[in-house]
Amino acid sequence: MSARRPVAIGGPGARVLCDHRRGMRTAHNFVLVIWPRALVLAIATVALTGCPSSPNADAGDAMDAELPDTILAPDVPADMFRLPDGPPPRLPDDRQACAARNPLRQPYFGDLHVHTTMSFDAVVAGTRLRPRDAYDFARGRPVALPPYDAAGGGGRRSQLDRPLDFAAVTDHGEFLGEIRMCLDPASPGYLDGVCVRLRETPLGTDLFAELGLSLTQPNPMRVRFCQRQPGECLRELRDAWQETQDAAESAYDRTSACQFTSFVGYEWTGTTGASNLHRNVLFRTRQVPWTPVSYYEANTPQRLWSQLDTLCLRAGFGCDVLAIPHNSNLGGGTIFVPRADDAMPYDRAQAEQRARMEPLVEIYQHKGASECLVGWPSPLGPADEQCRFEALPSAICTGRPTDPPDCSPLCGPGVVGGFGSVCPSPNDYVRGALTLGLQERARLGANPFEFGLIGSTDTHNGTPGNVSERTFPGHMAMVDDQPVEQMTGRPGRFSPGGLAVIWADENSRDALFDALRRRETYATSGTRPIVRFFGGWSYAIDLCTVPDLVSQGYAHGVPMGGVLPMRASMTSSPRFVVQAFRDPGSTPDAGAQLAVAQVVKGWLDATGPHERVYDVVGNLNNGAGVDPATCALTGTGSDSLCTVWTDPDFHADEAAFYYVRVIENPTCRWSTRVCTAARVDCTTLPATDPFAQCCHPRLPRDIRERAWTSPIWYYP
Amino acid sequence: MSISRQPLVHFALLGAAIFGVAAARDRIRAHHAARGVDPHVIVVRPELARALRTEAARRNGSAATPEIERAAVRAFVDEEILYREAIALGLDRGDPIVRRRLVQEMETILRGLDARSGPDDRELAAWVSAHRERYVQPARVAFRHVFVSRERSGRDGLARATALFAALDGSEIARGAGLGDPFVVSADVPMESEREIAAAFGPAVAAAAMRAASGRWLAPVESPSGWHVVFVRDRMESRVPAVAEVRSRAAEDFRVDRGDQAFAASLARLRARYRVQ
Repeated sequence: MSARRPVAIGGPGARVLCDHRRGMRTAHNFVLVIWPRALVLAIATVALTGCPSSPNADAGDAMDAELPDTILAPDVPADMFRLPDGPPPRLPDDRQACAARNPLRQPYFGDLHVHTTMSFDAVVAGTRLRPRDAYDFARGRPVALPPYDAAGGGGRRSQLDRPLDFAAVTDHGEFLGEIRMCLDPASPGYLDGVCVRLRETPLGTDLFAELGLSLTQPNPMRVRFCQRQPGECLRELRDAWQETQDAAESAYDRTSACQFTSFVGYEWTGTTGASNLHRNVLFRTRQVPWTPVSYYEANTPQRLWSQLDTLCLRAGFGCDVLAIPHNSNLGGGTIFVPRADDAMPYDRAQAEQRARMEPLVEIYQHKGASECLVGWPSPLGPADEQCRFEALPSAICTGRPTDPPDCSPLCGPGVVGGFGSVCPSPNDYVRGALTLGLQERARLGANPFEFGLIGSTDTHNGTPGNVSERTFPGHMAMVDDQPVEQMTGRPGRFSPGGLAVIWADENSRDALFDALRRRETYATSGTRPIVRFFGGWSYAIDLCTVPDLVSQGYAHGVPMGGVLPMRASMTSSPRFVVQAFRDPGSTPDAGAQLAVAQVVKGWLDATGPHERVYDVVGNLNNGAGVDPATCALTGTGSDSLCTVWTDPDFHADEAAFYYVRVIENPTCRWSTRVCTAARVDCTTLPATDPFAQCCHPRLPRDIRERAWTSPIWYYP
Repeated sequence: MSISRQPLVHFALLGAAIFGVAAARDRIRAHHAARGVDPHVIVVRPELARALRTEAARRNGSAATPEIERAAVRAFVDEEILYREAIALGLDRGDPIVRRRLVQEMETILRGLDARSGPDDRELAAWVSAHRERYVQPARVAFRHVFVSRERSGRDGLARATALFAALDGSEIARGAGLGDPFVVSADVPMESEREIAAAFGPAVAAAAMRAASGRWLAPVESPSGWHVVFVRDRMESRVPAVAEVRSRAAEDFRVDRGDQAFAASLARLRARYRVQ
């Protein structure tokens, strides 16, 4: 474990609030968050083994001694399988032109963060769906979730009432091969200790803890079997990666109907020191590198980018790729740090590389929102209360005296960051990072954090877009299939996750990927409101009465994700067109009305960074509500909102970003439905009851679903 | 798949499987003896030597000299010797990598070499027709709409929409330009399916547009955000695409299906030969 370097960079907002001390406890907390049931066993395991400094090496000498060696000829070189020299062969990647093509663009809804049984954490939890099943689900076909009956049938039926337009299966790039090896009786690793433990400890607990721990090591090593026989593990990895690609290919509609787009992708799962650095890697092309670049090949984000650069972008076989960080709320002060691997501040080229490789951030998913740190005061007024939206406890407990009382055991001396963190940095959040980006641009002339926003689910059930609060089946197979499990511990604070929305000309890989690159995207917390956001200098002030608002929006400015063009005159202030329509709903889910559209502005002046939230149209406190007992809605809101907003505080010499947050009227949160179904009565419920969290004062009864758009930037 | 394109590999492995890859020296000898072949004789035909020479020269970037040929043949022979000795020692037996490779190859063979070359046009057409549900493409309409916002009009919205419809009824599509309130997607909507329309307009407008006759204005239809006066300009009926449009996907589906059937049947036959104790 290396000592953590200080990260006080980029001005007053960038302080890390707590003394992050690293240790084995950190890694156990990582397990805690992902998989609460593993906690007791994991602690017991480590207590017995006494905190091994290299958990990979503990793969069990005892196991090896007891089990037959599967290698018959030890003198034969183990590494019998190597990747071919040179890039993969070119594959045909053409398609028909789409019948539906609209130069004024359509909103497409999808999910770019999906785990299946090929992910190590999902498979040990009992997830059975494969990538093909996940794409089937995304396209509206029903699937069965565990528990299954003795014959492997049955299960809980799940189906989307509105299919998705696009999805990417993003299984963990780490252990793709190991998992496959351990589940194939013909594999030489099948009887290796690591595989026996995967199959034979309860739900794979023991192995899960070990694999999770290995991802927290700064210099990770693969499990012993794969160190001894790297070729065999590589072969399995190739096999799994091929399945990922084949599933994406067969789901992609290459006909003119353009009904569904898939992307080949995976998750890079670096969790150094238990701080979440995870990225989803997404390919535009059918052509992808021979294997995913995982934490084992690239143990820092910078190395990930340069390897993707070498193996994809500059490999000369037509490969294109980008990466999307997520759960910066668990970043422990490390995810948006403008320093290179050598701890030196970014130079301009490094800042540009980061912006090029990571044009987007996933702001919302089942493990909470990453918009802004709860309780972080703005110099111009009170803290933004909306930062509490679906915040994990880590975002609520800041380590300051003003914390709620029940934070104290969670956040104090010796408490660590990241997955174990209850003491995050404001820069772990999108708003802090966008602000830091302005400062970096002032320093370097390039903004490393010039990113747009998407949401997704991070489902570990293999069910993309399964975001309804009405039908939340849990997040990870047998870990939280029961209502009482969903309400135990931190999972009570989880949610079904969100969606990615892309404004594109048509539903094809190229059109969607182009839009991701230009950041013409927004995130939702799971519902489907439709939001336009344009910025420019010359919009008519009455544009909201003009039928061709959209074409005017494009003609005289930039859409969400853009950078404002040069000013037309020295005196003007920028104008922003904000247009939001309620989720038009589906037959079972009517969709809620809208309450308010807000512009969140962050800017830099001589005294440092500032932020402010403007209610630009609608009314957050419109009196609408929801009855938690029946989930019936009360009060009214708006079916659509539109305004042309001129920044009243604009100064031409101050760099700024603007993004829109659209907030719906309240509806019942999934946990309220679960608690109601369990007939929980908070007046009589003992504190020890498994459903006690139903009555926790900080567990929200309702949810104000919302959308966050990509920002529009202004640079002097 | 690359292996599947190498019938020689299949042939060799099929032979190996049939004659006992897991056999020991005596079985190999018996086999060779039965065919009148000496297991210690390695035949290098002239055309093979020529191919080895050409390939070696190409790789070395040199002329195809007799020295090159000798070296290439020697390398080939050495490898063959090692292979035969390994078989004779039974090294293939119990080696899980060899085992899995052979199992995979056997499965590939049982799936049928024929399936990889098919289907022909007639078979493909029959396949697509028999599995219409897999390939059917939804009906689509292209339309223009005039939007009346409930937010802007309040209680008067329906009256406004009805008045707009009265003014437009019977007129050309062009008359609808520049009327109404701004909607969140463009007034002219390209060829979209019901599901695509519903994403922005909600289910009611989508269903109405799909039902509507082309070439005239429809009475206002209510959506979650207001009222829409719709003119369907063009439509495409739901259809099973021409075989040519889905050729690669349908051919792959066909081959997978044929392979599944062939494999299941062959495996059933093989199972009957074995007894589990």
